[in-house]
Amino acid sequence: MERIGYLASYAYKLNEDWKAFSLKENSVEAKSFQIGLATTLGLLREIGATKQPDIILLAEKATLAQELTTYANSAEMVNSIKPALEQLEEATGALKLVQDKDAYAKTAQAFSAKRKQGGLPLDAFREFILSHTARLTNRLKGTASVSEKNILRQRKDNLKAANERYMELQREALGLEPMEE
Amino acid sequence: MAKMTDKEAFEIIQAVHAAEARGDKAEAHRIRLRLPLAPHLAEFMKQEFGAQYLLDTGANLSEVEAQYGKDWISR
Repeated sequence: MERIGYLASYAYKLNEDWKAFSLKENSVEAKSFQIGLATTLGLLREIGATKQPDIILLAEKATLAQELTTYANSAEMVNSIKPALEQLEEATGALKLVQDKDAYAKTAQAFSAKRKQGGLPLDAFREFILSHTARLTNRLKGTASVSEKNILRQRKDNLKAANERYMELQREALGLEPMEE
Repeated sequence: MAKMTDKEAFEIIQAVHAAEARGDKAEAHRIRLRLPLAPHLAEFMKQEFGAQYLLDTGANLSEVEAQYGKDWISR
């Protein structure tokens, strides 16, 4: 009986928590927050549509700074955001380097075949996109509102757009033919 | 400058949404600027685009000045 007692208490507590959460979500302030996120999503879409890696990286930097300062409420979260910011800085360095053909061509020689994909180095920019996309995917598996998840998805789409443009820059720097559409 | 109350901030946010609902994005942006800019975002703007640009945007820097001093912008 004790087992059932605990579990029944817990089930009713979960029920109460959900009711309280729903009340919070239906408050005027919560609804206002959700309305505001639609505009944020629109702005992120516009940023993604530029397909400019520098703009997309800076937008992500601002988002991460925001998350680190305001939402990060666990050591795990802080330990996820800080490396992301460090990797983002490294990616910014790679983005500058890829625009200097000679310097990038030399750098590319230091990458073994294993660290290349289709002849393109999996450098700091490409690594940031890969690992940060994985971070955002993991967050899509967690509990968050639909509006918040739409923003996470848009951030992923923006990283993808930045990556595509970056790969073109890599091809240009290395004198490779552009990929066919 | 006295710290903005939650009520005042919420009124600004609602005015922003009203402007957006009318399709007036420029007015929404102007109203949004009245919210104190959080220090981490002020720092981001200053670092990436420079102090003068940040000032020219018309940002409300009351929060960052309260936290880091009036001379924050020129440091």
